[in-house]
Amino acid sequence: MELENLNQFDEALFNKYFGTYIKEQRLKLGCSYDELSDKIFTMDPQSIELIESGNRFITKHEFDSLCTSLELDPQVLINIGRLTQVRSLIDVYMETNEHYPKQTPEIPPA
Amino acid sequence: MSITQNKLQKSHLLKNQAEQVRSFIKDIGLPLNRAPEALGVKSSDFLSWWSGHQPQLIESKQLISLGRFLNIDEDQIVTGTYDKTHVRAVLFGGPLVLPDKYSKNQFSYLRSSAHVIKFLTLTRGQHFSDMIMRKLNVSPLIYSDQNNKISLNYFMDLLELLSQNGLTQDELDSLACVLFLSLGETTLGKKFKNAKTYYECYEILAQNIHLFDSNFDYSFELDQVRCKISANLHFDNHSHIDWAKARVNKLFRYRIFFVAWLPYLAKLSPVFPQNKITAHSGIITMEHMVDFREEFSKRQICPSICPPIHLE
Repeated sequence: MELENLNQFDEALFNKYFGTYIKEQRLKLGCSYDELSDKIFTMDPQSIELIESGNRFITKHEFDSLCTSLELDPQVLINIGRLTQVRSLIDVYMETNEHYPKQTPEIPPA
Repeated sequence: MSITQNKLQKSHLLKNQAEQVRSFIKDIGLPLNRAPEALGVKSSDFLSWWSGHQPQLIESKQLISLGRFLNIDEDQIVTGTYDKTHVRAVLFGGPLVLPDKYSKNQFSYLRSSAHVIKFLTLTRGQHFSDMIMRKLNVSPLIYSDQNNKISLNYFMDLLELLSQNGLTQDELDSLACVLFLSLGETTLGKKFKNAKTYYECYEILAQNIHLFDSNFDYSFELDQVRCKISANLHFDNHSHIDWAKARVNKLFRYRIFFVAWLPYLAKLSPVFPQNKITAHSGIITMEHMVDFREEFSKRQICPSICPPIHLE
């Protein structure tokens, strides 16, 4: 699985959702920032905190380390990637598709 | 306001809150041997408070703990708006008990909303989705069997609650687009995944629509270039529903996106239908006309609109 394939549609949005998942998984494993940082030598606790809040871009190496250390589920990562694609597609369709429901049709009086 | 006045006001509020919790415990019949666990306090501290000592014991933290223990929103304890039957059923009869308004006219399968909860968990965290379930007075465990049925009221309340809890219209629109989150690896999901054309995709929908819900009477007119879906909702079957305009609009908008995004399960780009709503005596009819040709021509002109997905 390649990070570049997962976040190709919207890197910032991917990072936001990825951060949420990282946090869930870290808490699920009962792991503190310091403990996780000890496992991943190249990342300090502050960097992990920033990644969890979606405010720091991640390198491929960091992505791989987090996947291994936090036992991330590949299917969940794929789903997160697809969520960002959905968001991008909605944006495109909103601008280009004549049938995009800008307003919901309302029930006429009976 | 002086510091002393502030302290007095806070003390008064806490006292009121503690009294509400006391009445609540008595009202629902929470066994006192389970109360310390429910409130997240030591047994000795609880007994001391219950006997009239240690009046400051009950603060927001304990209230939240009590709400979580019973799968209800803590605000309902303070305001007294909780559903006593539901709380007692949760307390004594196991967690998979539905409030009255969701257990009448159960025409929707939970699979038709499971993806929404997964979406919330992925994008906002488990805590957020659990909070939404508590506010709906249902157990977070109800999705353990997606063959369970529930009333349409539940889904309308869910959309309304999400809107009240910070989801923008764009995010609400995304909900119908992420069916793959829950359906992806199921038997039904695999049928959609194997569809090669729009025709096949909507044919699978026509054959399996009963696996989503039977709130509506559906009819499909399908050929190689278009699909017309008519859905009739009979008021007689749904007299229990709150038909407030905003709620109905959210439901109908969701359904438009649902129809449009089904092909995405087959890795085809979505097709937005033309929609028409009519109302006759006792029946609302919603028609969606999906024209596959439009999508084909667009993809040829601008293939980058839906780049191929190579995630796996």
